[in-house]
Amino acid sequence: MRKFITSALVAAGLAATAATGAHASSGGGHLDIKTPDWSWQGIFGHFKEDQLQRGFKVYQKVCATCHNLKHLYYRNLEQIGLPESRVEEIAPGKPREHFQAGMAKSTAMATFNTVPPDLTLMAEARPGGPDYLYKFLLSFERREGHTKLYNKAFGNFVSMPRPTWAAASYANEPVEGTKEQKAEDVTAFLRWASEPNLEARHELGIKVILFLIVLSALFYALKRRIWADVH
Amino acid sequence: MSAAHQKQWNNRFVQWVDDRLPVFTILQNDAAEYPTPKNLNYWWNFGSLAGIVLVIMILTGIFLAMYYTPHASMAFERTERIMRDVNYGWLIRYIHMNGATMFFITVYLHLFRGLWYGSYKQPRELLWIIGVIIILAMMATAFMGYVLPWGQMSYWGAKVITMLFSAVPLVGDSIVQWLWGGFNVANPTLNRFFSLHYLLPFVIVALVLVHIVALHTVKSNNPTGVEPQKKEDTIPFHPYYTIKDLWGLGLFLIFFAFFVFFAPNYFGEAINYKPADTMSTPAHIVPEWYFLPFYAILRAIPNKLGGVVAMFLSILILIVIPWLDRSKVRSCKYRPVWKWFVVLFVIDCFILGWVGANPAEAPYTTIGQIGTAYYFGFFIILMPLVGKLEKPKPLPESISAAVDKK
Repeated sequence: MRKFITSALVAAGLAATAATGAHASSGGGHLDIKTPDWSWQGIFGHFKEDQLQRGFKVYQKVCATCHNLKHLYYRNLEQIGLPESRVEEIAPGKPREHFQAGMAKSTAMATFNTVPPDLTLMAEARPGGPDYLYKFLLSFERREGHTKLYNKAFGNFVSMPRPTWAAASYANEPVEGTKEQKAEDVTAFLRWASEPNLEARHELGIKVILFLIVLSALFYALKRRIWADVH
Repeated sequence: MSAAHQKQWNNRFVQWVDDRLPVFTILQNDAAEYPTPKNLNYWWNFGSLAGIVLVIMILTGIFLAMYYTPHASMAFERTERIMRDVNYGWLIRYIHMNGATMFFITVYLHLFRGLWYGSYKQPRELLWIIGVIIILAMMATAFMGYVLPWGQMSYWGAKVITMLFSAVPLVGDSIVQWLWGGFNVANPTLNRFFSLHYLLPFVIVALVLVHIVALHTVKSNNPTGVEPQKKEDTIPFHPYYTIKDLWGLGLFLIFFAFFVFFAPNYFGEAINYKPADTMSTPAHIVPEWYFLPFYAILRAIPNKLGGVVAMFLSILILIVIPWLDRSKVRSCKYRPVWKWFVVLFVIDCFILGWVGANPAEAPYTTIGQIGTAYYFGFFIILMPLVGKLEKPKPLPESISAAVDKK
């Protein structure tokens, strides 16, 4: 058994080092912005429907002018609790079609001299993930002599203007419409958009691991029995 | 694995088949009765675990290929469709993604086992060499597989690694163009990588079978490194090691499942969720964790060709260690000096991995160079020297004697 524990520790060590390696390159600025405790973290983590709906509203009113969510279908919105009739209203075409938001390439080039990136995977595609995204949204500042804004989280000037938070009204929402709240909600929504199957993954994972624990225990009992006569 | 001693079977159908094709005799000899040293510890679990991961990789890979499209303009989007719209596509892909990590963890531990207990030494040289070839085939497969989602790191990783061949004198640039199928990493590159990524795992399966034939000819080594001499030294593979392997498999699958379900992108690079962009190079191009030590060796040599040669040699050198090691004793258990150099070698591999993950600048470059020097010095200088000078501890008379003493 002692040998076994040693092997297990070495395996764990290998995995841990591998992970350090994989994450050693994650950058990001040193900011004083405190990131929220995201509801989807941990093995029981799940999304909060009301937050996703608010986040979608922020996306619609603030982000969608420039950014698309091209991997998402309008019908996916039913997963965050929007009724079918509402989804039909939102979709410019049929709910089965992909999102068609954002800005035409030519307009974007003329206005910002760049094409605003698609946001479907934005919560996954940067080191730091949703934390980085949240900080990014709240870190725009003007620097003298520059037309572009500086973003502290990004660590450089960005073509993106400050998000027009006021465009999304929280008048009928149970939470206060601060920019921090809106940034938090839209980050949650984008995390959902990056992986709509996250909750299914957690739920299945718990079952699979419980099953494997029972199975391993049975194997162990059997192993003890079979090996009892070996000296 | 010989059918020399044909078995007699009670079932007439089994007998009929076995007389014509000795599958049952082979199974009986090589999977059930196969005499195995009775003192194998848990380090001996990783070979079968690696084999099981290979099967998992092939199965999940076949299903992924049913939905994937190897085209530069579609690969990224199709991969996302697998994640979103294919039933349990996310599960299959996360198993496959993390399976590569699991494959390398098990194989590296398996390799370390061989190094620690001297499993490469006479008469197991060919068994060891086939193992090294399997690792090379795995590395090629893993590298090409990582390119398939066509994310930023897929693309730039492919570019950096294929460009290494430009260091070859005279024909370097021609080789690179030949590998690319054009003048840049582009659609033809993706197509051939997909084709080869599908082919190589089956080559690995064939190599694994050869590995097992060689193993069953020379039989398993064991922690004492002393060959079995009498009947009491061995036990039949089944049920003893089938159940021990299954119990190990159970635990390993919990470890595997944890990453698949709760940290599926832990080993990945975030930027690979950004589609390949030929116009923007990522700030740090880093390979997957299992290549990091070799990446550090590549960058430790100031000369490009030298770095490439050193990187390939760092694996190929394993082929000749059965002859570099001059010790009469196999197991580190009885090698009081050598074992510390092996421990240091493992630490060195971790340090090199850490250097590989960091940018090529001070102080990492110097640390990488020292690490590389030890990596090669370990095999070329220490291995023959310590083997000759070291005074090993007395070996037990037999496996049974060693076990009884405990």
